[in-house]
Formats: sequence, structure tokens, C-alpha cells
Amino acid sequence: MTKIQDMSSTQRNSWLVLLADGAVFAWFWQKMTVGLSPIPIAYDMNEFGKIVLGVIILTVILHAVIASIFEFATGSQKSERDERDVLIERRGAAWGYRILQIGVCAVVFGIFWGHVWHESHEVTSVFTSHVEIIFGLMVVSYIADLAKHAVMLHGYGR
Amino acid sequence: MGGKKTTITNHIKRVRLARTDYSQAALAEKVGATRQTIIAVEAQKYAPSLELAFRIAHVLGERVDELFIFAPDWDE
Repeated sequence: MTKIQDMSSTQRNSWLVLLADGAVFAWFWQKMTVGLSPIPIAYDMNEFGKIVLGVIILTVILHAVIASIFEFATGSQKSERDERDVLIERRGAAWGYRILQIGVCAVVFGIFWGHVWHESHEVTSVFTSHVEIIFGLMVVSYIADLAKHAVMLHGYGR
Repeated sequence: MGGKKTTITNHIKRVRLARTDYSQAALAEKVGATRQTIIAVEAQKYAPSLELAFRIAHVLGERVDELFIFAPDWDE
């Protein structure tokens, strides 16, 4: 594995996001669901708002802590990027965007599934509350972001 | 690691060590790239853009077509 000192600023940033946001996502998932079940606990908007606030605070703290560790390890190295970083970032962004598109489509389909066909066909609704919809969109957003940075780090390792 | 090689190979490392006393970091600074990119190019894991290829050739005092070799992976 590449040493922190030998990484470009873009590669370091990808590790930072992957570690920090990965940890925050794990915390968010653990707070919102029971075990590995994708069905969120039926919180009201007040309780859910507190969890989202926790996500924001945890994100800021983890980003600051991990960035400080990287800064300590690399010293006063100037941040630089070139055409290879741009190419790798573009590839990661394309993957992230594709996953985001598919995820948002799945959430929208889930909402329609519940509201259009639920009553007439007696099918199980996927999203029945605002909390579930926001939870679904947040999960999609996290997965897309984590996938983007995972693809980027794979690109650096090739 | 040890990933896929590019179809464009090069002699940058040999020329750099034979003709200059540039380190990878020094060459990177001269051509406006990062050291990581020079490492990847020398390891044949990244094919640089035309502009970067010309910059490297210029700094090493070599012609582009002598520094880089196109090795197609199809039968001609």
C-alpha cells in the first residue's frame, strides 16, 4: 500500500472521505435500523432530526481528526494534483453518479409503488413515511459517495 | 498492485538515469506533474497525455517517438 507521504492530495482526500464518511454511515445505519435490516425504525421527524444533526456533527469531527492525522504524517507538503488525478477522479465520479442515478430511481419507484399501486393491488409499500424517504435518499447518497472514492482508490492502486 | 500495463511503453527511467541526475520528484517538478504520476508512467501503468509526453521528452532531451513505444495489443 502507498504511504501517506507518497500519496497525491486527491488520493489522500479520497482516503479521508472513505474513512470518515464510511464510519459516519455505519453509525447512521446502526442508529436507524435493527441489525442489517434495510427497514428503518419508525422514528418521528423530531427524533430523526436529532440523528441527522448527529450525522453532521460526527462528519465534521471525523473529517477534522483524520485530516489532522494526515497533515501530521505529511508535514508541510503542498497539495498538488495533475492530469492523472483528474482522470482518476473523473472515473470515480462517473461510477458515483451512475449509482446515485440508479438509487434515486429505486427510491422514486418505491414511493410510486407505495402510493399508486398499494391500495388497488394490496402490495407491500416500500416507503410509507417522510423519514423512510429521507433515509432512503441518504443511504443512496452515502453509497454513491463511498463508491466514488473506492473506485478512485482502486484507480490509484492499478 | 501490479495492475494492467498500458499499450504505450517508455524508456523514461533508463534515459532519466543515464542522461540526467533528476530524481522522480525533480522530473515531476520540471514537467508539472506529481511524483506519483512519474512513478506510474515509469512503471508502464499510466500512459501520459500527449502534452505531458512532449514535456517529459523535452526535459530529458529525447524525441517523443524514441522515448515512447506504441505496442498494440491486437494482431497487425
